[in-house]
Amino acid sequence: MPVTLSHYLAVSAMLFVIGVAGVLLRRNLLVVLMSIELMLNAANLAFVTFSRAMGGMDGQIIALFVMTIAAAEVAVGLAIVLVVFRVRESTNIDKINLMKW
Amino acid sequence: MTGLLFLIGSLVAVGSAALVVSRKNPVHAALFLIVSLLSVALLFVLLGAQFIAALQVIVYAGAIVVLFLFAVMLLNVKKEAAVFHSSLAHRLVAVVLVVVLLVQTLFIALASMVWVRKEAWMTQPSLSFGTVQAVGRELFARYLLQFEVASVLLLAAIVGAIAMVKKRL
Repeated sequence: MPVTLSHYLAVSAMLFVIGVAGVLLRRNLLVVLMSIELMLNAANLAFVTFSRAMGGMDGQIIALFVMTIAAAEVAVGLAIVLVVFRVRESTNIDKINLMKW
Repeated sequence: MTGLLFLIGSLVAVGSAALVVSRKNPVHAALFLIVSLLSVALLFVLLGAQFIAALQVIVYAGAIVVLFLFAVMLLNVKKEAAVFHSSLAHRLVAVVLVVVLLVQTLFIALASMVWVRKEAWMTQPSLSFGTVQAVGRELFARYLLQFEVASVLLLAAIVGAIAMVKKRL
């Protein structure tokens, strides 16, 4: 059975769902950020898959921009983690609860 | 041959992604993230997008995850006692949501194999499909504004990250 578009999309879907599971279930802030990177990666795979399916380069350009934004987001996100760690002395997201009711 | 490579790449990608979200030690999670990113780069090569695959290895696995490891080392994060949330209700709701999302996305991804079309799509792309020239030609002509805006975004991220972490401005 030849490898079609749907196979790549299924891989992208599974990567995305594993990323969502990581964000929802893990308590360590750094691993939550890593799961967000997994989700962005799954989206990149979907974009490049559709670029191949439609023959245009647009999907790959968008994937390039997604990578750029992911890099910027990781930089800012880790800066936030550092500042939170200075205040809370922990990377447990349950401890970041100052704005909770 | 490409079928076998696709199987290896996708199994390693999904398996190491599952390991990323389940490791107690954040350093192990980061290393499995590198493995997952490299196997997705293999999938990019199989799709013909060589430039994006090279960028994936250089930028994602080579810079972003290294930044993660810097942060892990700086914060001296130890292995945690419990991996997942303590409240059972929280974990139950999360698992239900994840299963629903998995069923939805797999349905959408695989339905086209059965319902919509049966024609194979893997026609050979043109020789210049994923090359640097092809990406550059599009990037600097049609997407020039987005390219410049992305550079401003990076500047904003750099300034923001430094401004947040500095103790005295």
